[in-house]
Amino acid sequence: MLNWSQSLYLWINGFAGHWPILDEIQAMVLTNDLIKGGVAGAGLIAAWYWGRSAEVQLASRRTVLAIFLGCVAVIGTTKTISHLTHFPRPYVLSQETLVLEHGELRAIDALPFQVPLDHKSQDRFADLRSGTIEKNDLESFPSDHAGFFIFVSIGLCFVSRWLGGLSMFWTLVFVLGSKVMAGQHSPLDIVGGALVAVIWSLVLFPWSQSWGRRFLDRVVQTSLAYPSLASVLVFLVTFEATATFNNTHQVLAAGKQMYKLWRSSHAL
Amino acid sequence: MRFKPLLFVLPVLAVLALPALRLPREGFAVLPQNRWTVSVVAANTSGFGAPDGLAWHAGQLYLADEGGHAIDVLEADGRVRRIVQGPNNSSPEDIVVDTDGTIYFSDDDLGGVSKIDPAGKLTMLAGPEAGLRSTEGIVLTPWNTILVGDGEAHRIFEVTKSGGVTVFAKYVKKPESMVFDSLQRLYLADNEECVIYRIERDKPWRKILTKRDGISKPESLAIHGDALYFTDPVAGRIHRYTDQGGLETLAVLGGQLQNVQGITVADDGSVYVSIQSNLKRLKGYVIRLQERVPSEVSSR
Repeated sequence: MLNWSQSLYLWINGFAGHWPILDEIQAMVLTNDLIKGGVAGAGLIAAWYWGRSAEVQLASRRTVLAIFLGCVAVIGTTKTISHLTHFPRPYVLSQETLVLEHGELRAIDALPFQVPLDHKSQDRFADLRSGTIEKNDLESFPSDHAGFFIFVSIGLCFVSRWLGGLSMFWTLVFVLGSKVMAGQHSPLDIVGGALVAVIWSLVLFPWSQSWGRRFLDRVVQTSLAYPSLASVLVFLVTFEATATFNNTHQVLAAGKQMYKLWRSSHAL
Repeated sequence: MRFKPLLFVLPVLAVLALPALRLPREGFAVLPQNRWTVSVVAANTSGFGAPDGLAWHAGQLYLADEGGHAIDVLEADGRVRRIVQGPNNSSPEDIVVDTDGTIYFSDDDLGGVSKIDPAGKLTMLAGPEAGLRSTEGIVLTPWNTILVGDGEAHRIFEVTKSGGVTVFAKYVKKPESMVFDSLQRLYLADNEECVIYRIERDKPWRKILTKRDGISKPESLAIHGDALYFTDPVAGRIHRYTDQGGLETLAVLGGQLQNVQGITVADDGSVYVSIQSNLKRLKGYVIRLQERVPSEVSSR
């Protein structure tokens, strides 16, 4: 981990383990989807209905559609990079770790970690000590939460600076601050995720108002023709997007598992 | 439109900047509780392809080199000595060595049980025509026969040393690995069902570890003393299980080291594990785990 990132991580994680209320708040932000994604989700719904004139409404909806497309692109990019760079979460690095370099294993210094006092963090650290580590905890860079929520916040800024600013503040202070405090991400992971968000913002938002305008306008016109159906779809996509597509992932994994069971029962 | 050059330049710059962050891109090993050490014993430069099954016999490490279509021995100086080179469509899977130095190995592509006598002559002891179509785990029994699992027939066959074949057990989805303990109890890893069974004569099979215990796909088993060691490539974990201590994780591996395959334990208690980083591109490792002495653990 780079020095500046490590120093900042140690400072933020240093707040953990002292005040039970602070630790409970960070745990709730990380585990409760309403608190974690509520601001961004509410912002997206507000942006969909934003503007009194037809022209403003059209532009807002184009942006919201670009945000939806971008969410998939951002998550896809962060997941791809994290598969290429094998780096565990900071709390995992509190255990003895060796990295493979040029065919040799080299020990790296264990990272100090203050365990938050909430039950979930305590249980997770006890699991780690007994060797139970989620696969997700072994690929930390870049932060998909940082990429996702910062991308949404940038997009909302194109609709309303107030909406985007609130979402960005919530993301940086509560969501990502809690992630660093709980040892789930280092500031370097956050910066990596933010860079992915900025790059996709530079690609998609200008595209939505220029070359992609014709395609997006067609979708927006359809949404105006079928407002009830459009509202349902926007709700579902927003609901799923603010949970960083976790539910979709679970449904797909369950489907894959059922297919495997079906196949193996036919094999015997 | 003025964003146009940025659209191409920024993503390229971001990708180029990744190496500057010096993030590990090859792999890593996490050792919970600091009770074990781990080191790379051999890599492809030693002369193997992508090893699978391992066996420790008379101070030497034998490798079923699935990627290299061969049976190898890892010498003390870290070099590989090839015992037998198989055809390109062979896929040596698991390996055992008898007390007289005879090697038996399974093959999940060609099937059958093959034998290499101490003089180095290769013969097929029992072939696919006897029902052994895709052989996986192999073990020598205390009553001087060979048990071999078959992933296509979903059976475990018993093969005599003269080549006779009978069915030992039916309805095992994928009998990936087997091992006997000193009490003649058979441990069986079914890596489709994600179960490790303990089988005792005239008793019902007992599931000692399942998914509920936190294992994913047990791949290879080894016994040392009263401890069962096994690899779990889906989670990249190396485990030890004892009746008294329960399940313990010795190491969690990621990146190129995640796909842990064969496992064996040397006489001094060192645990050897083969890793297939990329079977097609013939990239693999053999690593060794050694338990720290208690004074060393407490001083860390």
